[in-house]
Amino acid sequence: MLALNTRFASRNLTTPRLFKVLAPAELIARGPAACAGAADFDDILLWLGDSPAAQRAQMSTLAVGGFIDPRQDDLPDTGRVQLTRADDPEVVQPGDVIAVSPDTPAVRVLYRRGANSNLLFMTDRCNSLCLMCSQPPRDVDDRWHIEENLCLLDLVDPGEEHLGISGGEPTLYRAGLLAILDKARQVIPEKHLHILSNGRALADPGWGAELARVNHPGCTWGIPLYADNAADHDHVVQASGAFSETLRGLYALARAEQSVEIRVVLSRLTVPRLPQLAHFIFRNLPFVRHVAFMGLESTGLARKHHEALWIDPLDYQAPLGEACHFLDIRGMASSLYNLPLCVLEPSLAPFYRRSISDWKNRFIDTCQGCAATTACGGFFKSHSPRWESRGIRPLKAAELARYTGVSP
Amino acid sequence: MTVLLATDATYRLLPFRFMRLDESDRGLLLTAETGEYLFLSEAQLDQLVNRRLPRHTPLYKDLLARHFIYEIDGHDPLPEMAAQYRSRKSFLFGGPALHLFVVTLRCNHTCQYCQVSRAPLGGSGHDLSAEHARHAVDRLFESPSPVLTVEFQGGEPLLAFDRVRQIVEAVQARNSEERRSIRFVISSTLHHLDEQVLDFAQEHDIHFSTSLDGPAFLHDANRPTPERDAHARTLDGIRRVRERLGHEAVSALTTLAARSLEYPEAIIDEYVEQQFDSISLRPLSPYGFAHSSRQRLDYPMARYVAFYKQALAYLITLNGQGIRLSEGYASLLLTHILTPFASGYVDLRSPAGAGIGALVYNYDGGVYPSDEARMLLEMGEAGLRLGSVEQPLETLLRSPVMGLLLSAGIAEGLPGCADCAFVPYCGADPIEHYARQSDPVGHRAFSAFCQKNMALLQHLFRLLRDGDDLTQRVLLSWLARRRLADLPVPGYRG
Ligand code: SF4
Ligand code: SF4
Repeated sequence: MLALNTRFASRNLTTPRLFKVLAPAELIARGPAACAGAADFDDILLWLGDSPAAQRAQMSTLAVGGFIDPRQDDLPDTGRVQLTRADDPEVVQPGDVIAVSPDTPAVRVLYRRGANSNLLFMTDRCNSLCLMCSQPPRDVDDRWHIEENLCLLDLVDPGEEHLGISGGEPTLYRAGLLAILDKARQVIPEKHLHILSNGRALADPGWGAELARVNHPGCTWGIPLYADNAADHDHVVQASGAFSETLRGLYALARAEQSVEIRVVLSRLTVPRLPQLAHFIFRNLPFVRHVAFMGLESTGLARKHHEALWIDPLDYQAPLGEACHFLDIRGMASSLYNLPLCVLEPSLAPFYRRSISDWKNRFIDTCQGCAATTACGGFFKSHSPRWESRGIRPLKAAELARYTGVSP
Repeated sequence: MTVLLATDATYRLLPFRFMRLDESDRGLLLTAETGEYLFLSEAQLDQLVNRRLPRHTPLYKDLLARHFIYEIDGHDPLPEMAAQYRSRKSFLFGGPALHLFVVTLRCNHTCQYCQVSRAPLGGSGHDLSAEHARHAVDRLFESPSPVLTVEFQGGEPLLAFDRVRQIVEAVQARNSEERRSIRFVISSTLHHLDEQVLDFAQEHDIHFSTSLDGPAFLHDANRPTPERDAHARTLDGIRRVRERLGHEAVSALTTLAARSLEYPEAIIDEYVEQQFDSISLRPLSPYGFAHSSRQRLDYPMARYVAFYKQALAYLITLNGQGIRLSEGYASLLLTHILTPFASGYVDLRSPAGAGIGALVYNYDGGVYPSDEARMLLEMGEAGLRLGSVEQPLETLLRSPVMGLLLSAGIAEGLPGCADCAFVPYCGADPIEHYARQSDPVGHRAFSAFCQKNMALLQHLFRLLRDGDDLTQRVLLSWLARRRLADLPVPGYRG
């Protein structure tokens, strides 16, 4: 997968800002209308990457915000912004939105055209400290993300797609998040937003009314719930009182008629009462649209807590099956993510989802010759042997058929 | 990592009820205010109430998670309990959703136990007038319910088809502005089904509900007609409805006379034969003519219960063989037991469904809180009339009769029910108690309503606790309204 950061040589950059990168043909055909929101020629960085030398000179007279060519050492100076000489010339592509600053050669891709995991990153801060956090929080004031994301909304492509909103804990910047939702409703109402939040802050009265007022037409809240009781949940998220706050937050979302998904990371701590958790969700939170059960990602804090968290997926197929079938029979959708297919109990195949995010779907040596590589979610980039199930084994076509129901 | 230890406060009990099912080590059924339940042993109950339960055990966590106990200074479970309670009682928000129009009392049958009183075929003065029908449609739309069912009753409503037509057309005309979700059902023997009726039903998406009491020998004995061909004519009607309106357009109800109780399997086989996917095995109710000929037709509830258990076992076996046929009452009770939702069934509600959930517009322009209440009228008890169809709904629902019914209509407050572990799943039926015991509160020890629900709920709870995988899957397929094959395993038993 492509990194989202690289370094460029820059010229004429005076303030930190965002640019939409456009290839000449698209610039000519659509101009700033290639962006979803309010943008003008000054927001556009013209992509010279594939242009013959003769055209370059001509194009460099165009009144755009600047020019970008990751493989060139230099461009004729027109007084406009120039980005050249990328460390990794593949990272930025036409259609992307990038953030640049005169203080650093670092260029961040904030929006990648066509990717399925574009994210509005809200903050590094968090009010919990989950034992398996893949992106450990930092206590910094990073409110600048709000302004950046508001600008970003104008520059993304128009059209239907999913956008994530995440952190850290995005609700910590309450006004900022509401402003982003409000702007998203105006500029990109066709894009579905998926907000990852622990929901704790939403317990605070007022949130519900404000969400109802913003009234975004298509957003889903993904809220983790790790147990059917406070002690177990609070232990996983390392914050006492979190269970109570999250539940109140969930009811606030329900009252504001928001769409809610419950997310459960499967670990030694959450597996023992998984069926009871499913029961709790169905009885107390029947408005939940979807329950996502997710394999553990061996990164961030999880690595520090390997012993407390690791359980071989082979050893939790029974409770996982009880939970999924319990919910399914009662009409509540559930899905399984981030699990190797070969460890799955076959009756769970209807719930199995191949992870779609760009940083997953890797395979390991053992997978060689497996018939399932196109059906299997594989492994995280961060995968390492001590996080490996003893059940990993290449599947024969006939075995794969037990999962897919399609005979080889 | 910090190991978070909850503060060392002790737990407190939340309101719950319990019942001894048997002497087994899960012989005690505990039910919480939310309708969640657990099976415990005697010793565990003792520990629980004496606050000697060890913490951090699975049972302790189960009790916490299902709102039997809470921890002082710990998590406050009230929001969850309130959410479940609100959901269970959500039927209260909508107002009357079921509206029964008794368009005529005339009927061609002379059923011995007739559930509804009838008048002879050619009788006069037993039809709903056009004027009264117009008023009734106004009452229908005064109900705030976004979902409405308009059900035509008799007698035999097809004998007054012009009135049915008038009402359907008036309701639909009005609904082009109101935009409610409205379902039309005609309860009929289907003997008078003609092309004109079928055309109209097709045009207006009307469903039929008929009576099928089993094979011909039972059905014809229950439902005498001069030609002795009630069964054949009803089957013919079912066929014609299905041909024209689709297989799902007709459902059937069974009335069980004393003799029927000897034939659970024959009755069920008849439903399989006629390709129904649900059967409803109701005991005889103490209304209509049934009361006067009670000696001959009535039976003790214990006999019905034995019949029902046998029937249920047979149904489970059949379902296991791939035949899809659910039992209606069990499906309702399972919804009450296994979900936080209300079933919408008016006879198993607390507050009682009469009036609050359903209204009956009688042929004479009187408005009643239930079908049974107007049958009492035919038996000479004018007492349960709410008023006239010309009065606004608000006035009708403020009538002294509603006050009387509601004061005896909240099961959680009735003697006997208040302490019963089944009260979250059961209901209050003040009209039945009024009919049988001349007192809307009634005494549970002599209550057929209680006897029936007590026995059936106990039976279902035992099946849920002890039943094998097939039994679980069949019951859950009824709950889920899905094919058994779609439920490969029963999942967590809860
Ligand atoms: S062996 Fe096959 S099924 Fe197992 S993880 Fe590798 S690709 Fe997936
Ligand atoms: S009627 Fe009987 S079974 Fe139902 S709640 Fe009352 S006492 Fe219990």
